[in-house]
Amino acid sequence: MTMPTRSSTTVVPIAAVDRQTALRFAQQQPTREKATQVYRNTLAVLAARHCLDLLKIPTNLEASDCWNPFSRLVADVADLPVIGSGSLECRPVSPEAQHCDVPPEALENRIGYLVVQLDPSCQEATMLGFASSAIGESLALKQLHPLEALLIHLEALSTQQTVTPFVQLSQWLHKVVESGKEAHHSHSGLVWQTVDTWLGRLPEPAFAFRSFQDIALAKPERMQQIIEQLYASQRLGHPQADIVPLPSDADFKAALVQLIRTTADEEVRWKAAEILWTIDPGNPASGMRRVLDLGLLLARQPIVLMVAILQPDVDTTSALESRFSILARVYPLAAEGYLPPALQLAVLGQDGSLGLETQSRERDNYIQLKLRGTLGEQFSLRLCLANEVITESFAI
Amino acid sequence: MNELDQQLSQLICHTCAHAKSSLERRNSLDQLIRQLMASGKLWRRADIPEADFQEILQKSWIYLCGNLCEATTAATPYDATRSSVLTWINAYIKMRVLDYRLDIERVKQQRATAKTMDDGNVLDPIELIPSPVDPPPMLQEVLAWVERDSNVLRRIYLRDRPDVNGKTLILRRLPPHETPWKQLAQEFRVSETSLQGFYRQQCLPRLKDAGRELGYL
Repeated sequence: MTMPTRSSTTVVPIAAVDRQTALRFAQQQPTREKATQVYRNTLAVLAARHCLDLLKIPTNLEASDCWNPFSRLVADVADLPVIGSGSLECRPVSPEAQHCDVPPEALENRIGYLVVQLDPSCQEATMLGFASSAIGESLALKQLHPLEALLIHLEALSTQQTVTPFVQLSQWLHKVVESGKEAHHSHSGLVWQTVDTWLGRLPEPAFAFRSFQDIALAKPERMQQIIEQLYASQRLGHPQADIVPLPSDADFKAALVQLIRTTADEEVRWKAAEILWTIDPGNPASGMRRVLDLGLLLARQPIVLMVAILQPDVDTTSALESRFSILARVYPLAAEGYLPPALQLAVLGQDGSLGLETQSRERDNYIQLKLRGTLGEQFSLRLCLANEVITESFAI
Repeated sequence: MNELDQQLSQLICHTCAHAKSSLERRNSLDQLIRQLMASGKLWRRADIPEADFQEILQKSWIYLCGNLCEATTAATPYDATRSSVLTWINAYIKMRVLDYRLDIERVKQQRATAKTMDDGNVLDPIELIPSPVDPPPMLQEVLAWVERDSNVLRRIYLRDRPDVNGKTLILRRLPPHETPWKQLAQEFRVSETSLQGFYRQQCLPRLKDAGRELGYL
């Protein structure tokens, strides 16, 4: 495969008036480091805006953080609001750079990242490329996409003509191998991240399934006990015919996988999946989990939404279509580890009708709802707290 | 999917079903290009010379033929799950027109600056920034706010690390003591990811609050 030719990188001449603007902003800063940061960020943003102007894509720099003196002072920002889409982060790099760091202030509320190389005399800016997300707070320059990708991304966002208007959960199951590299966007522009990526962001796993914390280190006898108990718990409320028997060999993983795939009891299915997540995180039978960081969007409470999907085997003894099992959980991100009380989680059907609902009490580590559906079915998850609402829509 | 998109979709399937240098593929590509041109949905610029635009269009067809089914000059081939073929090729055309216009600007600018730069030395414009004298009033106000709210800020901290709290981190990220993340991570013996995550979720929102309180946001 031949490398793209030089003509596919876009070189923008920097006008003297833009350098003057950047200088003016830089002179407001109290330290040389801050002044340099602001100077370069300003040039990167102005160069990007020039390109978008020529492409007739409307922007609103006056509404950006980097055009606000306070934000410039207290944060490292280089955001360019694109009208109808969201803010594009324009990061400056030097010619020798191999990668581009993305500061924490630019890791949320961004529709994508443009990397702008400034030449030493700041006469020219080269658009090195675009990325729609920055997993790991750093962008490898070799992996950037050409600017055509930005145009396609903007068109998809602004016209809502995304090929997948809702998050398609069944697709998560097909991406098991590529976890971490694929980023899926909710319609609000936030990014669904894989659990592994997420676990790296927190001081300790937020999904401490506290009753299972000791499972990874459990002695085989204890594991055996846990699995037997799980199999036995199927009897509660189910006719004898639907009970899945415990396999005679001692392979814990296989026993859990069988339970996940064939039990009629949803409670048990998810408990088995949780154990499998703990002892064998990459196992495809445990489905896929992704996390949406809602930041402080809901009544200024830091919370995270996790959605997990399982695909049990098709029921071959009846004419039922294959049904997927879905789990939705809301976790707190506060240091105290509890959800704020009275946080409601509800499932809404395709027509908006209210299905299941649950609410947090005083000291809940998380709240959850489970549902089942067939391929293509749509539903929404609605989170409410103190009269504020966030809704995320899905198609299975 | 409208009728045109469906037709184009089918044509693309047909095209890519044939081997790269086969006659069938070439014919199919020709047909696809003719249909795209006849659709009236190709992006056009009236304000660049027609001959130049035709040249850009030719480049675009070469790109299409080379990257529709497999990637030859692009990093990835056309991906129907990301966009329609019209969106894809129009994005390419728009970028080539952009490059064309930027080239003209650059030539103009080079001619203009050639007249003014006499010593040929590359000037680092950052040298022009004078050394800061007094801290700006805005900074003093923010630092005062941190002092005033220090009890609250100290109570927000990284799990099990009361020393890595809101007050400490904000003061280490604001001027005049602004410290790179790498260094902070080493000092506190915490991962950059944890620090940045904490800063993003707990400190930045509070700084925004400060900005609003002080009337700057």
